[in-house]
Amino acid sequence: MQKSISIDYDIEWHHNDYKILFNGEECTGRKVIEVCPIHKVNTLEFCGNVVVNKLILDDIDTEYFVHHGFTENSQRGNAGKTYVKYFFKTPIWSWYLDWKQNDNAVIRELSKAHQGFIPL
Amino acid sequence: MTMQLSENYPKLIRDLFLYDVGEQYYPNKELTCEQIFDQISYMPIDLGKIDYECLAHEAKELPYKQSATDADRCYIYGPVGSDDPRCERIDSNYKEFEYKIKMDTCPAIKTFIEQVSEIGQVTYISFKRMLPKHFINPHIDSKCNPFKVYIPLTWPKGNYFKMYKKGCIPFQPGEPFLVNTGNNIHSVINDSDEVRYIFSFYADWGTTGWQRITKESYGKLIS
Repeated sequence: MQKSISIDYDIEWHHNDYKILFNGEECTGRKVIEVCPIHKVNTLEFCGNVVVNKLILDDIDTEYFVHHGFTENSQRGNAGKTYVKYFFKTPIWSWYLDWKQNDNAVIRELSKAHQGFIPL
Repeated sequence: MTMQLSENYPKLIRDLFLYDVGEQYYPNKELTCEQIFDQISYMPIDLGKIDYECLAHEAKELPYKQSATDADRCYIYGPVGSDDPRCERIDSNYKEFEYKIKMDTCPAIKTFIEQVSEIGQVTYISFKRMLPKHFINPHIDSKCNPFKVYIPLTWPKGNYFKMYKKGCIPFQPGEPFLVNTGNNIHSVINDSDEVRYIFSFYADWGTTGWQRITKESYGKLIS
């Protein structure tokens, strides 16, 4: 049985033609999504010319994680001309703390500080 | 230990306290300082006798910078210069240190700093005051020096220092802990009805004195 979590976001669309895909299926406008079992990675894709300002999963604000979306041409960020795609696992609280801890690792911080290679 | 917190706290904090069952594990054998710093997230550290009641009395009168939901802070000792570095510089290599407030009204704190400085260089000290129902969201501290010593001056029931996958630090007033806050996500709450006071300091852990204290403290822990 799959688990459901709440989803909320603040996004800017620059054209009317858009949709949101969750694990490959359209979920535009839905406030609750059924997530994969905990060992699998979920994908959330905002399709269109879009800026994602906020992403709240399971009532947890994922803060600056929104800037780590995957966009076209192998870029990273919260804005894309055609899509912004996020990957996450559940439970959200532990996935997010693991992600945050990794994002603050010393080697990664050094890379950020010197604007060099950023291991993802 | 897990616990269910009220909705006063953000969902991330509530889930961390409710679902995270991890605990600190202490290897039951002698460790070198490098191994202690590498493997231990927190442990008691023996700084000798501390007159924490006197420190607590003075701590209550310090000029704190207030925070809306977080902890109020008073930066009292650190690198020469005007700004509070919060020890956030990853490549800091300060050599000169100074008091950041007038110490006339807090002689016990000044004496404490002088005493611990005899062990080895202390590089940064700040006091924190946390009001009831305030909290600090899960975060990681400085990378330039991930190890700091916390000394709770008051720790009313309902106060928790939770470290992700490592449990809650068993703080008691006047009992110092060496804590690795630079490699571990942690969150702090004051779920009591009282104001609580704590202070922390960074030291140069490469000095002989601090390495000796660290090693001896671990030895006592496992003996």
